[in-house]
Amino acid sequence: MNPDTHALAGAYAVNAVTEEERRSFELHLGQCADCRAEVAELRAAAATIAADVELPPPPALRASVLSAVAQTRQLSPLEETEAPAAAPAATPAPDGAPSPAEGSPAPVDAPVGAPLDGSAGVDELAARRRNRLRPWLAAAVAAAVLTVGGLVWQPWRDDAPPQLTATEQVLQADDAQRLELPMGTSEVVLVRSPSHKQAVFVADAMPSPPSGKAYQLWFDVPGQGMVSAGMIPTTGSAVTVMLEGDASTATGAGITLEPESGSEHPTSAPVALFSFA
Amino acid sequence: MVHMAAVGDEGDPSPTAAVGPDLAGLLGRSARGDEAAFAELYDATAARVHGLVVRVVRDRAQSEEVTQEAFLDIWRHCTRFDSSKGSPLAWMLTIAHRKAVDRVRSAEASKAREVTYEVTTAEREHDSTLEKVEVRLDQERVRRALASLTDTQRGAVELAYLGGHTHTEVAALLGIPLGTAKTRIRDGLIRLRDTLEVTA
Repeated sequence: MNPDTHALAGAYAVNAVTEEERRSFELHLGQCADCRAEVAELRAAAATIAADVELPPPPALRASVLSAVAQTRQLSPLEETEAPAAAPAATPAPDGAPSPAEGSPAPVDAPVGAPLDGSAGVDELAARRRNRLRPWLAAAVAAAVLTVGGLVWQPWRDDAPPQLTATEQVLQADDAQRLELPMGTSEVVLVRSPSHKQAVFVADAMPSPPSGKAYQLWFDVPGQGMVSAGMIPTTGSAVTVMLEGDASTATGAGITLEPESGSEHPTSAPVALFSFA
Repeated sequence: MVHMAAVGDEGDPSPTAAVGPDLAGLLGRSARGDEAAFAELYDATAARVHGLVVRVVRDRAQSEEVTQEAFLDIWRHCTRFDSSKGSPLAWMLTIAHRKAVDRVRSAEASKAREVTYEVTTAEREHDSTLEKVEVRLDQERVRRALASLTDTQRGAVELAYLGGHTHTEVAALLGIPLGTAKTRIRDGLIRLRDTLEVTA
């Protein structure tokens, strides 16, 4: 991984990042189980910094909070979805890569407000770290990071639009166009929002590319042909990646197998093609 | 002078320590719409949550709004909190911290911040700016953990976490290169994490 990106984990954990940095780091988090674990641990540690500070709010605030509570609907609980508690560390991905796959498709399938922040990642994470962490920290880790398919990193997720990640904004856009294709044993999905001019590729079980190869994303741009939209990270089979480039002018998108460093133009037949028409 | 309310026997500062009231239980009941349970939860944690918010936001009126917003978020989201998977307090404080930082940032967007003032008071505020800071014995542990950080690490972490500054701002405030601030914050948090692990 890019050490520079990774280095942002600390600042991110304590919200010491700009919105821009937050979005881009959250895209990275989607691919990097190590950073997810680290962020969660550092958040838990940070929560102790103010442990010596207690300041009771004015008594009137209590009544105010409770009166607001009485008028505020609670969110629907999360479904206990495809994240069996037993799934974690015992069954690592075949290639030894972390397996953040469980639950990945949920963000796309789910309507707004439905279970995005399931517990799959949490179980995996907690189990993976169990040997190393003190119990309180492991528990706090689980509390502090909530992930599904790498989209949601905060313990809340339905707040005003500014708090949505760039990816979520596309996935939840009113004009989101959703295209599905079978691939390997599962499906891959491309969600495109013309108003956001962005597209997001989501797969929960991307087949491993042959050694030395990687998947490359392309936009079909009128007048220019296939223009690279970035590489699909190879960190795991679960993928959520924002395509680079303007999705509003493209008429389609594709995926090809290319050398790991990527290609200027597609050099092989597409393994997937999406038409925006 | 504000007097501390009794906050049960919660002495261990670690987020999952068995604090007096059963926070996980209260959250669970709150999740089922039990407003009385939520009131109890509020009573048990408001001083911690508000203390953190005030450290970040400073302004009392705004802090009260942020604390209220944080508790409302906690109420709305407690349906999704799973006590078997984590500490209620760490979860609540994470929500409150993000709310506080968001408030500081949006305030900043409309009016330039008095950076100089923030820096020069950064040390003093540690001890004296709050009317009442309750120090409890077990908190010695956290204090020792914080003390294990180098001065430069602690400075960077506190400016980030309590000051609500971005790492870029921290670098500017400390007059250090960008990457250095990022590294100090991370290294400081890692040391804090590791020290808490081994000394408990």
